[in-house]
Amino acid sequence: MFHVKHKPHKIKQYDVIVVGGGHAGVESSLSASKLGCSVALITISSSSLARMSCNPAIGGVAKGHLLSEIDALGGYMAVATDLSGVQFKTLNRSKGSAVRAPRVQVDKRAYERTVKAEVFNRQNISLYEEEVSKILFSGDRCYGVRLLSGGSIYSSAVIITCGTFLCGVVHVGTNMSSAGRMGEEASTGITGSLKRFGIRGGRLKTGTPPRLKRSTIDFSSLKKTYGDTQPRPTSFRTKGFSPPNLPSWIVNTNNETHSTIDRNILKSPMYSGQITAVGPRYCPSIEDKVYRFSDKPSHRIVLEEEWRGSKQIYTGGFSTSLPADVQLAALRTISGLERVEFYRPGYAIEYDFFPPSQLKSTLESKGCRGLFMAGQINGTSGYEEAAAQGLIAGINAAHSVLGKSPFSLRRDQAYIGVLIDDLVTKDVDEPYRMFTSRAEHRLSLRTTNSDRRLSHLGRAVGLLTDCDYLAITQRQIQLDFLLCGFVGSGAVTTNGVKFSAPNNGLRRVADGEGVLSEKISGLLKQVSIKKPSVNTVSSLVLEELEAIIKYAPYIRRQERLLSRIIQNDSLPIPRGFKYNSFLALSTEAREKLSRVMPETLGQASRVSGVTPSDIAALSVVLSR
Amino acid sequence: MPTMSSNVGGPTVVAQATPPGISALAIVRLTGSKSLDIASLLSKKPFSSFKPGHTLLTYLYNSSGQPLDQVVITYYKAPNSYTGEDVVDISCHGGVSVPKSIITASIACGAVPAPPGEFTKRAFINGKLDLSQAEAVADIIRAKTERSQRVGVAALVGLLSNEITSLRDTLVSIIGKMEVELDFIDHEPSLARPVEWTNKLVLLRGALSSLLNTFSGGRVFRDGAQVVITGNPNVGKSSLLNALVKEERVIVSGKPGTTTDAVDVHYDMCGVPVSFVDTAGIRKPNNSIESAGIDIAKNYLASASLVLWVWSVDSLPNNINSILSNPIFSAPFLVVINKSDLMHKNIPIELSSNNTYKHVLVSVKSGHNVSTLLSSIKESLTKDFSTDQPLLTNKRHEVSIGSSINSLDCALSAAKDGEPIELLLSDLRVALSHLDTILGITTPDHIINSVFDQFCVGK
Repeated sequence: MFHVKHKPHKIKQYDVIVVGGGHAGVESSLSASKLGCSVALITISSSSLARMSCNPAIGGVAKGHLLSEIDALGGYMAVATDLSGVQFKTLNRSKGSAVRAPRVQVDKRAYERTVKAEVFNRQNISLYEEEVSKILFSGDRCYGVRLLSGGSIYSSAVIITCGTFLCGVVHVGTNMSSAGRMGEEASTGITGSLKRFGIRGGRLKTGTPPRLKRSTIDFSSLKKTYGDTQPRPTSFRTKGFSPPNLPSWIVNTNNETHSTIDRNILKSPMYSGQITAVGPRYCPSIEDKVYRFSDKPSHRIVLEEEWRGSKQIYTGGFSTSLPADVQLAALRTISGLERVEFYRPGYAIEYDFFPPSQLKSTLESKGCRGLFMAGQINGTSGYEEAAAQGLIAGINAAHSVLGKSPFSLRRDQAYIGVLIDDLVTKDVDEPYRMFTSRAEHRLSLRTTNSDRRLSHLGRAVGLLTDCDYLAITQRQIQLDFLLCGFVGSGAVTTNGVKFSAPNNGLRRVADGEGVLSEKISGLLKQVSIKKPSVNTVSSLVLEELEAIIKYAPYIRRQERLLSRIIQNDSLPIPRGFKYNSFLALSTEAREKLSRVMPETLGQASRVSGVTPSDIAALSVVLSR
Repeated sequence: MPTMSSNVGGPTVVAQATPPGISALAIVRLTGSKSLDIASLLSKKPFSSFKPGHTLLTYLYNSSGQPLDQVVITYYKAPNSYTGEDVVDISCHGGVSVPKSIITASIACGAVPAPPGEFTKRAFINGKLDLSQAEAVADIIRAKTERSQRVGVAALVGLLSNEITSLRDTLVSIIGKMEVELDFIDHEPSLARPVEWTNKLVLLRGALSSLLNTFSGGRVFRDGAQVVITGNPNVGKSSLLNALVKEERVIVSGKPGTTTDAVDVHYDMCGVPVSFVDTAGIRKPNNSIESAGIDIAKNYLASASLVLWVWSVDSLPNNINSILSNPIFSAPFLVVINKSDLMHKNIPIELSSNNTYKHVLVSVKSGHNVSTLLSSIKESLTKDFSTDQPLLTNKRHEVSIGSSINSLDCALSAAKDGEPIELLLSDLRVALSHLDTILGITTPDHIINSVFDQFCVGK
């Protein structure tokens, strides 16, 4: 079915090498391969390709936005999610459409199987089950990798996506061991190569909760929770969708749980000082929650199957690095878990990352041509964040090989644009997770319009086939008919608002949003499509229509504020600008800007420690 | 751009650094890399005679060798100068012609006339001042009296920015709490208490609008107050003006109206720059010229900080209360009843027994109560503020705070309509951005940090 290369005996040359087979590595490989590049995907273990190493879920608020954008650009994650999901939920239902997002509990094994099949089916991806011992540099470019088993592989572009595997140290209580994820070896040679080349490194920490033995849980007393009864697929391309809707279970911690943790808190390596790396504040361990929020009497924990019928249960909300016996004692204070036992305890892992301000917005290194980085190595957290970067790195690696122009997204275009812009301008000092509050264009960046925002780019790049693109644009065409008042009156939105048509007011709103694009009009002429009748208009289209109308005045009020940002983003700063001799800047700004070397004034304004006073001075000088 | 620090300044510029007009002395300032060359050419003295931070008494000559003036030159070497560049300050005799001749001679030696604000702009570019300091400098330059200057100095040391910073932090914390509702709903139950937010927003709005209200007071300090004298013909308006002038004895300038009946006189009234305007009496016009004078008077009344509404004891109408209750202008006013020396005429009972309208009985002729009237004027102009409080003096700041309040109102009305949080947040972020433009800070990181520091969130 596919070929795993164990011992390459002769010189191997590929267009693109991808180091690491996690969510970033997979999207990188698939996108570069679809753009016509030959790809060598190197992973320590091919069985762990696309492994979901933490929670058995994809999506969530902001992460679900990334997911739909990956899909609209032609990435694979959402397709695999729809094929392996067991519980589909739209979060934030009670709030407006911009912050609603899909969250899907998936069958981890089915997900991995689905993605592996997709990778193996690509003829131009060669899988190497190997460990990289060294990255090969010549001058200011990267030209391949050396393998631990001997021999080298050469390429014009190398994408590093090795997650938490670099110098990984696992902490369970005060026990430490060197490892990648549990049961896998840590890779160490890459860090040395990158540092010798002059790329700065740092340490971060993340954690994962314990996995429980299903047979030791008393489910009879636990509250079940299910997904939506009318589930929506996460991919614009999914058809004929009827997924399962399996339950998960809710339990709550109590005073006894908290006092058990409190008594033992110094045994946690975070509190004893054994872990010095910075962990994320927004994915706090249970000991963090108990310690920092001592006034809260209870925390919610969600028990989820890791795969259909799995004997192993994931404890969402109980991330910890306390000693195993303390974890167990604390869990056993919870109703339904009195006799619970582990498959494995929760643990914390410390790992190397490389501050991504050393990258361009294409995710290529500023100092080394042909070297790309994506995923947790850039200090992010989460499957979706990793996949989004993998997709962008894959496209740009392919473009650099093929001599095409760089591809990047702006902050006003996509959460992916926000993600990468934040990474390349800000100091990452804790694992970076996407939030809707990071996107100043939040009202315009909806999961229901990712297709309108991005699918034409996916097609232009070459990731979406014309066939996919036409399928995606069906919905856009419906929406345009509605917006133009082509539909007879009586269209009813999800919350019962009736539209009468033709309606000039509607049309004006639509034009203000720039939705009636020439592309769509052109397409309408090419493909003869019947006007949709009200009955066939999907709920998604009506929801989007509502959002366009409802948000229009709010978006207008933000316009002045946001247009200034866009304006600064379009003012380039010459390469090699000498910040150090520009005395109008504060000392901190001079130091930070010299290090980050932003590509535009807008990026400069987002570098931490740079004030608007600094930006005003820079803009005066840049416009002289 | 290899040598930024020397290039950013541009050419050497010259301008008079003191206000134009009649004065004993004036300062002509040169800034830029050629300042010293030009000073040397003008004074025919070698470079070595100019020592940084020292003064030099010398004559200056024009290009044909004719002496222009005897002056004192002070040399400030870069970067230890106001602009951060080489600066030469020439103290010369005042008036119009001498400074102008020195500027002309400097231009002949290669200097370029400085556009307005150039010195401060260079100070900003060279890192000598930050943006809000630069604005405060502009306020000080425009300040008309010493007390006005204190308000400008207070802005320099951050009284206003402390106040705005604290209001801004309140807003960031409210936004942070609301953001939690959107971004962290995976497992933890809702922390939402919408009433709490709206109460806090209402309080914040109140604080911002109090600050906004100090703007008129702040403006009185910076731009001065305009006190307009009005009343029927022949009640003694012009005599009153003269009496006030005589009493205060601190005339800055005075000029009779030329094209109008209005007379404009400037005072420094215990630190408040006040201009008195005497207007034509308002009555039914007899001809078009008088009608034009009355229109002008109405314009003055419309922009007045305070109106002195003058009456005469001997011609008080019986329905004065109803007239006073229906003025043709909106500014606050003081009722002045002149000719107290004619007190044998009876004041209508109505007015004397009624405290609705504050009135001062004066005699311009004898000087009776004129100083009391001055105190009343001063009290009316300054009662709403003190210089110990942050005062809004800058128009841009006023506009920003006003816009911020408008955005808060949008959010509050959306909250009332039960609109979802992300829409409220959209307006609150706009409100925040307006405060940020005053303080010169940005970045959503502040919000993110606020979120994490206060809440228990997690997966």
